[in-house]
Amino acid sequence: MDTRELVARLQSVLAEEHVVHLPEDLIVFERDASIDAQLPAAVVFPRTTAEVSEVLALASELKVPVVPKGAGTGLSGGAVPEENGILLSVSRMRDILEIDVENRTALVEPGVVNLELSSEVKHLGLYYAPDPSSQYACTLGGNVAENSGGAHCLRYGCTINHVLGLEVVFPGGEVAWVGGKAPDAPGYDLMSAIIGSEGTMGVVTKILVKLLPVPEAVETYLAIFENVPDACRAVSSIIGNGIIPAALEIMDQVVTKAIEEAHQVGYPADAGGVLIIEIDGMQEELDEQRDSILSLCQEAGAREIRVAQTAAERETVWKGRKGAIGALGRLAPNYYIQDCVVPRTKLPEIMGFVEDVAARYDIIIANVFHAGDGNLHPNLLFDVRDGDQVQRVIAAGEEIIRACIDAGGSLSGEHGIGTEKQEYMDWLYGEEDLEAMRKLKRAFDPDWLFNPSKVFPTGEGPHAAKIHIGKAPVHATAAAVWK
Amino acid sequence: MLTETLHSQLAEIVSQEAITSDSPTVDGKRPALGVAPRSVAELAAVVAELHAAETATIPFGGGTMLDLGAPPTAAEVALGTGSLNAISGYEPADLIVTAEAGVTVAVLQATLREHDQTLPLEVPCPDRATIGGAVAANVHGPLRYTFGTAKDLVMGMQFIQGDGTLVKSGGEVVKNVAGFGLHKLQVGALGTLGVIATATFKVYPLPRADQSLIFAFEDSDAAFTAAAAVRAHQPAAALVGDAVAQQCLFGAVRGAHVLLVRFMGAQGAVARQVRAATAVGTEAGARATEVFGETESATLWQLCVDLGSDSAPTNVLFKASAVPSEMRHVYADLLRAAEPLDEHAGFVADPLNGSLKCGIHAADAQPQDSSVDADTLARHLRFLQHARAVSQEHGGSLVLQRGTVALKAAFDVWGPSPQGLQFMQNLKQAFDPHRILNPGRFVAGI
Ligand SMILES: Cc1cc2nc3c(=O)[nH]c(=O)nc-3n(C[C@H](O)[C@H](O)[C@H](O)COP(=O)(O)OP(=O)(O)OC[C@H]3O[C@@H](n4cnc5c(N)ncnc54)[C@H](O)[C@@H]3O)c2cc1C
Repeated sequence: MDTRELVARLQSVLAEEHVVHLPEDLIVFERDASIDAQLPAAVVFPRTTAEVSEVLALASELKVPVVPKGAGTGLSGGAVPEENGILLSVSRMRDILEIDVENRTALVEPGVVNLELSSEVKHLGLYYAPDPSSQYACTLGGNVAENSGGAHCLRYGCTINHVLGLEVVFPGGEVAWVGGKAPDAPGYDLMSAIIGSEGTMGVVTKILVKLLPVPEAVETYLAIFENVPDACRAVSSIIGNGIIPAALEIMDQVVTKAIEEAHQVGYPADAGGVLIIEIDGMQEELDEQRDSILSLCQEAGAREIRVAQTAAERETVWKGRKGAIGALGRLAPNYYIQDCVVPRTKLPEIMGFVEDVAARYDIIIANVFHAGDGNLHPNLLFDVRDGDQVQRVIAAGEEIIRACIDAGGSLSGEHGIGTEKQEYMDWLYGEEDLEAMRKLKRAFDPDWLFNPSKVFPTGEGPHAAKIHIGKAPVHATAAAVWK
Repeated sequence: MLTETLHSQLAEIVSQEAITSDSPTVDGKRPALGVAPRSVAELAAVVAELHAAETATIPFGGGTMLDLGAPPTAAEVALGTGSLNAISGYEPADLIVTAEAGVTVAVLQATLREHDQTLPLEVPCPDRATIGGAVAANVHGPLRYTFGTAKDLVMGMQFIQGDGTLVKSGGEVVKNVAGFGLHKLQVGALGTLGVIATATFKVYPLPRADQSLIFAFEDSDAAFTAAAAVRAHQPAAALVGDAVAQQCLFGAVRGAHVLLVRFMGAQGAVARQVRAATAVGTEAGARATEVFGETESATLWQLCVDLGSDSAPTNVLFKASAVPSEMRHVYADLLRAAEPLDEHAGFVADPLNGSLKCGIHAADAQPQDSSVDADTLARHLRFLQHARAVSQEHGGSLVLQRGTVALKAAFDVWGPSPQGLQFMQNLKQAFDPHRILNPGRFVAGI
């Protein structure tokens, strides 16, 4: 498809200024928060469902690939454009359309930022529960596409547990509602299939979510351990004792140090592992849980447990945690953040293994993760200009993924597969499993136009071998290793 | 003839004892053969064979939900999962359990209870109902307000596609976005997209306290107003029931309407919630209040879930939904409309989730009857049509869960075609190309 012709057709359905196509203007759209990059043919900014529908009808007619994009905070490459494709940004679709206090729901456009919604309903005593650490920037459309989680998903669940309905524009331009305010609409649960489909099955144009009442009581603790495996043991035993706190988050010393340098939130500088524990709910519930949790931490070897005394102190604890990944930027030019999940009882063992991997490959791995869910985030730090280091990072990352899968775990807890993990999908699933997933996609996208080169293995070898800076591949040598 | 060939082919896959001529009837159709594979591999091989022979297949577990759905266009083989009854993975400290499809809900719950855990999915007839059937039929009760439905609890699955290939989706961890949610799609698909072989659930610690309250009201609006007010105290579940429902539940009628509210959680918290709710109920004009503790509470709610599930074939059972805040109107309207029915119609409505269950007992029918007279049929039909219209007016839908073959012929069990039907048809074509699985039982002829 000739780009000029495509642009002209797009400009026939959208105003000229909402179709970006000059090469110099496209550069800012070539990436998301992962390490891949690709220039699209054009970026479009529809405002309405009808406009999205027209763009998609056009894309189908011309057989041009489409990538939907929210805020571009995705860590797995989901919003990285396709070559010669259309990047469809929902950034102009950002109205909160309805707050229904009686039914505790909100109807929003996909470009609404996660935290904005909670701020908007705070005065009603309500909030939107899923809270990715990127919540100040990421969009609800992106959250739906990734089935995003967050620190408080331990108790409250991920995006899929909080969405009641979606308006979707499907490939070809057909608009349909799946789900809704009333439960149990007859038919297959298309909504649950679309949530977490990483923008491969259509564009979400409206989202109906549940709102929850703000809990009456919240307490936040910092349990300080000599090392991460001890902190993990505390997590396993809290859950094993039938207590599900609101959040259980672990940070290792690399992370707490980086956060301290960036934000000065008062994390101990000399501790090997810090566990954030938050309990919320009714006051009596907290009273019942507090002592058990604290003594389980002590049994696991906590040398100190600090209490956030005020709301402001609590906020500071979370500011540090949510700013963790950003703070890592101070330590190395690049990071590769993984997202494996293991059964919670395997946490201590697997975290010991991660330490071992870091030592063997002589790289720094920073850990900050949703321990309560068994969802790891090893951050492998590197400098992309150092080809040898890149190779070590790739190999180390693969060992970790293997170990997590062998432990009965999964490749991704919340960041999605995208391009970043696609070559590992066949480590977790057999060809027939993957083929069944392809069938699901084809039911919605028969021409395979939506995010076409993501999620499934290409057979080209591990992802990290494709690391680019802008358009220039920087380490052809690394790629060669994987042939 | 076909049966004989098929019989011998199946006999090469499963043992002789696994093949019977004894199979359940679905809407008057009785499959000539019953087959009950003993392993997931056998199950897959059997489905592959049925696919090759293009044989209409009715997968079933405990047979408790076979009334759900439109009458199948054909039913040649009944594929029982009852012999797949192993709990294949359970690590209590991980709060994750994996079981084969034929494990009954009661067995699973008993296993979990040994470790003070539970699967918060309310299923009618748990002694017979299997987890595979419960997931396929997407059954749930009022606790979904707190714990969601099967789609929120199923973390992974193995299922057999219509062509016999075994597929794994999701995993055995509590959080997982690797790959698409095929296992979520199987929830509520009534076995028309595949036969569930195993399912992995996220489970919960048993609550330390579990108490329920019953308020009696003369006026249904007051009951719903009380339910709305009680919501501020975070109930785990609530139901409003009419006199007929009460008669079935308690063998006694406490008032024209009752509001049942359940609280689960920490001891002290539940005690405060019960006090607060009592005050709310009294303020809303409740006549009587009773508190049920621990085991009584669980029993009470199981009775509510069971309501109507094991009654005579001539009875009518349907589920309607509405935007939750509008359920009061649906409930009141349907109760009024049921008055001229001249037979027992019982209603329970879930004010927090926006669903309603209604059972109509055909007054003149004998237990052994499988049909009712033309007048009764016409009355039922008129009532159902009205009920569907009312549900739709309030944003919801209506599904007929049980009715005679004649009623199902006159009244579309699932109602009008849902949005996105074309995609549903594409899915059916992709996952069961020979349309052997429950042909015709699902939405719009799927
Ligand atoms: C510092 C940092 C911390 C993070 N912490 C967390 C965390 O705690 N938990 C977590 O789960 N994630 C986390 N993430 C990852 C990321 O923020 C989430 O995946 C988020 O949901 C992406 O939203 P977005 O708007 O940026 O989407 P994008 O990155 O723009 O897109 C993500 C995917 O969604 C698709 N998409 C976007 N909008 C639509 C739409 N309207 N319709 C259809 N498809 C669409 C895209 O095609 C793409 O595949 C973090 C990221 C960063 C940078």
